[in-house]
Amino acid sequence: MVTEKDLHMFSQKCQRIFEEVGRDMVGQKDIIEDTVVAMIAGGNVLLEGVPGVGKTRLVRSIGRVFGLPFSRIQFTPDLMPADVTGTNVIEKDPQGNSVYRFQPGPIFSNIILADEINRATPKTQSALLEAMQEHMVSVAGIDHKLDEPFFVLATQNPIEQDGTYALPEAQIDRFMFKLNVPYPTVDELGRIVLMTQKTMDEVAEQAVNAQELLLMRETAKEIPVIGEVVKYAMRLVAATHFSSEAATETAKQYIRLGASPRAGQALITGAKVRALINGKYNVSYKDIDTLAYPVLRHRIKMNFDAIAAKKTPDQLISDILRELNGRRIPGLGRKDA
Amino acid sequence: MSLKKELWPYRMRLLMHALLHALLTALIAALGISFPYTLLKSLGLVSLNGISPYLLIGGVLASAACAGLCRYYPTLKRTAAIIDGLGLEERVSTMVANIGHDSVILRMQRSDALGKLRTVSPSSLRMVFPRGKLIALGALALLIVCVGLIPFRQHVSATAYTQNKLIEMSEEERLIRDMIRDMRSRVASSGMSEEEKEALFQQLDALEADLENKEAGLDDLAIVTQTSAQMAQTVDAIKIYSNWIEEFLKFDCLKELGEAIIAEDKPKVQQAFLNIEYRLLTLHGQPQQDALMEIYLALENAIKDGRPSDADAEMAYAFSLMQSDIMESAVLVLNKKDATQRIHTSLDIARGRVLIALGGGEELAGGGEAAGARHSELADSGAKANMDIESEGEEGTSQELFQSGRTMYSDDPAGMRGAGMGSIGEQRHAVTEHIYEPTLSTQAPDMDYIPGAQDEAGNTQRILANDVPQADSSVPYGQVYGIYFAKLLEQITQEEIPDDMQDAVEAYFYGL
Repeated sequence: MVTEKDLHMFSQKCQRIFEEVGRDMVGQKDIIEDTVVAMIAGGNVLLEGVPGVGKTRLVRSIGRVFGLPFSRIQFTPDLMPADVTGTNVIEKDPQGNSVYRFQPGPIFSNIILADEINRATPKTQSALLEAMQEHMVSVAGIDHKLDEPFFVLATQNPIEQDGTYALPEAQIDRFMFKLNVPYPTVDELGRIVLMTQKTMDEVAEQAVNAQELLLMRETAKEIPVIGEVVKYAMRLVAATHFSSEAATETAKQYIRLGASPRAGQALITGAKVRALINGKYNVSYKDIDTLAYPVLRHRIKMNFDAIAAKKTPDQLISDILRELNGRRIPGLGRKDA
Repeated sequence: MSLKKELWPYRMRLLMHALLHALLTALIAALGISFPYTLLKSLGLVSLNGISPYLLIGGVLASAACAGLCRYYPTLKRTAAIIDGLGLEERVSTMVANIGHDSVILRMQRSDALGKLRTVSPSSLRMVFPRGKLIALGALALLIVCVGLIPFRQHVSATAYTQNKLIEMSEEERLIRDMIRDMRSRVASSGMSEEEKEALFQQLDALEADLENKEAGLDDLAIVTQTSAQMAQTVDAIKIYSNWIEEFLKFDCLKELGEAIIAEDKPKVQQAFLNIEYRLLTLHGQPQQDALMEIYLALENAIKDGRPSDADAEMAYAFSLMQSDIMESAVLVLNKKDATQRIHTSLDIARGRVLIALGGGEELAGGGEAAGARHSELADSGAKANMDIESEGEEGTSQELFQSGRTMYSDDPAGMRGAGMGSIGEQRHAVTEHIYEPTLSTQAPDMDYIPGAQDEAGNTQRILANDVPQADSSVPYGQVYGIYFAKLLEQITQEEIPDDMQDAVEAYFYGL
């Protein structure tokens, strides 16, 4: 049962998290907030951005702020699954006998930074897939459970796609959010340069521990959401399917494959956390609309018409939202309500 | 304070909005019904008499208003949603949805929501009218004004005129009813036979029934005007009726005509017509009009009573023609115009047709002498009596005509019998007309024909036993004129004379 104290704690911790991360990161407020939302909600995040925008630094700061063990896996084309999950090695016991001992891989951590995940082979990517979904790895037939909380924060480079392996839909669907890390503004760039001239060290301190994070997660789950908002979120997901009865014109014209039901879960879960972070005790339509982009952009597949028209997933999401919101009467509340 | 009380000011404001919305919806619906009705009414394609159009439009308006109110009624949930639209981010809706539930988070949520709610005043709830509805309302109103303006204007003035007319009609109706009551008492106390009294009472009952059933619609000026005119005539007729009993008692020749027809005594029929004409032409002004109306009504009874003869249809037709002519004569007199010519013509025609209906020629000879003697007596008394038959515009016309009629009538001393002439006495020169043998159709042996035989005396018509007229006959003009005219009217009725020639032909015969 959530108490008032839990709620106060949540608010304080969130504030502290943002402050600490802000000490290491310049700008990127939305990215930081979305990442924190995903982590509190228990989801994985895929960060996409050009090199040098601070993706890795962000993940490292997040790891430090949350006080969780952090592992970085640099995905390369020659990376093997065993390099991720671990493997059995032969050792001599004190008696001199040869025995197998499981050597855990870097995945056995709380926060995994899967750097340039699209550079690894699909076989290696699938090893991560099991861990992301089930928080468990299987090696030589033996299941090894991962510690909670467990997060995968993957990064990928939108350029230099040659020689890369696009993440399969099944795996990419397991990322709660996909965040496009933008290039810093001129002002932000100046501040970055000035900051790093002094020191490159990451100075963020721990703000929460694992138990507090889990408690925050439980607290956020208790946030009420009215039926109309849930219905709206589900209509949003259904609207991305061209064959659905709720499909919008945009979906019918430009989308080959719509979002999975995980998108609906991600929307509601993330909206609850976001509402609480913003000091609200209920989920609103605005929360859903805001989270629509990180939740849906990696889950919808554009068809050739969209590619030919040089549409981006964000543009399609904007169009879908506009079509859905156009059915609501401004000033007189939601028509669906 | 309970949640409902907290939201009450907002609900009140939204309730007002709902009423305005409902009114707007109702107006659009009512105008939507009014427009086609107005359009069809102005085109004269529809006229709702049984169902009041105002009742219909009012019903539509009330129904639409109720529907609009139900649609926009501010329930708690709807109110919350509208308030949240002002930037409260579903705080109030969540609070309303969780009424009755309790938890720490819900309490905090409620507190947060109420705090935000108090930053929004009810006046922030702006009314948003759908642009489409406003445009539709304006368009419908404009259309109705354009389509309905002229008819409405006439309708408004017609309504005022109609109301005035109705007021006049009410007074007239009272007058008529008073006069009917008066006449009933006079009939009851008169010395007429029970049969005659009963006939008159029936006429009065029919008149009262007409007064009951006459309804003038406020939206029909023509009906009102016509009704007023009818009632005006009825008033005049009532005024005549009040005097007609005495006239009827004086006017024995009507009874005489009826008895003659029943007996199929053609000479008596002729004499009766002569007497009627003489009587009418000795009167003028109101008495003449009264007498005409009396004859009119008497003819109506005559037609209704029926005759045992085979010539019933012909007789009824003859009298119906005479009725319309008599009425026209009465109207002429009413308008202070000379009706002599009309009276003479109508009686002549009627006489001719009645005689055609009765048929035969020998019978004419049988009764003609008595008729002629009677006519001679009347002619003499008429010459001595005050023959001040003057009429406006044509002074002396009636006298001349009567005199010429006397000349004609007294042309044949011994042989002037039958067809309305009678025998006067001395042989005098008579205006004669050459009768041409009509062409008979062997396919229709019963076709109408004009009798034109002349006997040895030279002045008596004779119809041969096989009903074939004798060729090259000469008969006094006065004998055949009426028959000719009757035939003319028949031809006109059957449209055997071209339209552009009907007036000329009719005028020719009237001028003879």
